[in-house]
Amino acid sequence: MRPLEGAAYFLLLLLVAELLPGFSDGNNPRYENFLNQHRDDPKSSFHGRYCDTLMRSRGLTRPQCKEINTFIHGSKRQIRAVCDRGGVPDGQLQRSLQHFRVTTCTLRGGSTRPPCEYKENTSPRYIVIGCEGGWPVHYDESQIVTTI
Amino acid sequence: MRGLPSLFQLGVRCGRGPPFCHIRGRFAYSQALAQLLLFRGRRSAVALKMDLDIQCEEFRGSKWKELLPSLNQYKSIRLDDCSLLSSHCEDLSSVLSANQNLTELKLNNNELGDSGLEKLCKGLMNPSCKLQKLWLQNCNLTKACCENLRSVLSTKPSLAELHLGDNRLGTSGVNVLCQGLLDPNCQLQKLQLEYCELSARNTEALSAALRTKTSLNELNLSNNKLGDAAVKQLCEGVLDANCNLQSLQLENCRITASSCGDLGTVLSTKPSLKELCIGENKIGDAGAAHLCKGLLNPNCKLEKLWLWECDLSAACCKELAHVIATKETLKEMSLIGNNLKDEGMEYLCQGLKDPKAALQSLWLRECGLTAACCKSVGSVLSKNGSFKELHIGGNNLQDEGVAQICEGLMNPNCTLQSLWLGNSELTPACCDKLATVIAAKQCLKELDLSNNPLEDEGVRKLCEAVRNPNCQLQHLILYDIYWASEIEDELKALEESKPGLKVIY
Repeated sequence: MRPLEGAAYFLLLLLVAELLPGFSDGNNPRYENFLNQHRDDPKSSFHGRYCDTLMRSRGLTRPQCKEINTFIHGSKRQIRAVCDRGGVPDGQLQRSLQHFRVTTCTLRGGSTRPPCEYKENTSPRYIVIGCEGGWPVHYDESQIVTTI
Repeated sequence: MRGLPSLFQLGVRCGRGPPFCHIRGRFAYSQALAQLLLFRGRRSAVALKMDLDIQCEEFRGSKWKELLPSLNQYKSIRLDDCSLLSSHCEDLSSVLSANQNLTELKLNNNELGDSGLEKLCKGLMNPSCKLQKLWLQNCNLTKACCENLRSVLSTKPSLAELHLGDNRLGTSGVNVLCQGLLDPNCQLQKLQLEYCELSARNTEALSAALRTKTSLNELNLSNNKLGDAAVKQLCEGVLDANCNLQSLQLENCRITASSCGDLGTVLSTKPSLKELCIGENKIGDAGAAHLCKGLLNPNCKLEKLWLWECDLSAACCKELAHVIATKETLKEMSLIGNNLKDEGMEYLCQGLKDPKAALQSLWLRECGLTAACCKSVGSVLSKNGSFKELHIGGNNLQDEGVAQICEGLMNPNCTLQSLWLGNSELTPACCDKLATVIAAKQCLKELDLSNNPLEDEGVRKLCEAVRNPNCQLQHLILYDIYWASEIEDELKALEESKPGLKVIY
């Protein structure tokens, strides 16, 4: 194989890798954990209550109920962009320039013991996230920014 | 041989790693099947002890056919969120008739519908079926299936628990169900009817059931628009000498202070009652005062009192503190989402410091507390040896407040097992104190610090403390804290080095 041909094959391989869904982020467990906990796009529709079902199916209700959790209804590309040009620094974190539609699930009931029941609140909101190497790895629940 | 059943328990955890639970589930399921095959040779000895516990897993087509033969060996089957439909119910009905050892069946969150339930009931009505506990929450049932359920109730004395929450049974459906409940054959102990669209027109039948059904010990009617008049009528049923109710749940039922007098009378006259849950009702301080009067009666043996989001303020805390200090049976209390403020907490702490106080678990999330009450909280922890579980997150405690709580925790008298401090505005500044507690207190099994800006520096200090051989922590809960990837590596290494520890983030 000539060197030039080898380089061409390599570029082709990179191109294919980029096009394959999930290939490029498949090796980043922190980003995957972020997506599992904080992204639901398009917003799922369930037979049961949205938050109760989604929190359960994402494994956030064991061993005890997670008290608050937000799901972003946006594409991976849009969310990733917040780490880059789609966001502005906010301390160590990045605040989005665009509104995202998000659903925040807040635990209701007397305790954190399962079964877990949630209140839900869907709104357009600027999101504040933490990034690492250009990948979102943290969602900041403490900041609810509806206006800049 | 005793350890075997747990080895073969087919639990499917929805954990971290692969983002969606069914992926993990599929893996665990095939693993479980492999274990089953290995196990078949020795089935006769222990097979019947096995529980099948599968959640969030789709069973369509061949996969269902694969699972089906194994269902006849279990004592307990759980197939929640498994996309089961009416068409699966014929097979499940056969399992109910054929598997005489099956005592528990959980089918929550599947679209079985009334037609599915009709098929299921055929199996339930089979004389060989010995089912004791049935969960059908959120199964798309309506009033149309209640006649079938009535027949099951009146012919199946083995059935002890029926969970029907999140089905739109409506007033007429539930009244039909009550006819089954009133049948002398019915020996139901536990009935769950949350979110079933009940109305005040159901309480006459329910009250009649309470008066005649001595077996009935748990009734959950939460999240139905009942109102005060209906609750008064229910209380009349509970007050009957025949009624042996142990747990009454009436959360979000539109109760106000005006029916709390009746609930107070129930408390003072029914020593059988162990649990009263009336969260999310606007009973206010006046309502709480009525309840406290009932609670203070020596006849009352209540163990658990749920008063979350009840519009309570500091004004009722003096009476609640008196209850805490005198009611030795009372073990658990939830006051989440009431604006008690530091003033109210000071009263509660006075009650908790009483040598007679036996409360073990207290939930105080979002009660408008600040660092100002934490000195008293610390003092409670240093004096009260029976206190096991404190949920005080979601309050503006800050580093200063947590430092004072830590001082109480360090007292040798303190035997607290579970401490929840999520969303409390904590920074790395309090982590030295927390680390000292983690390393020194072997009694501490669970610590939640979610949603606090602890940063890498703070989390690193906690990790170091957990590494101490003294630390017996089982759950370290750290959701939504921003840290560098090295911290995550450290947490993983920590989990590997401590087999009893699970770090949740």
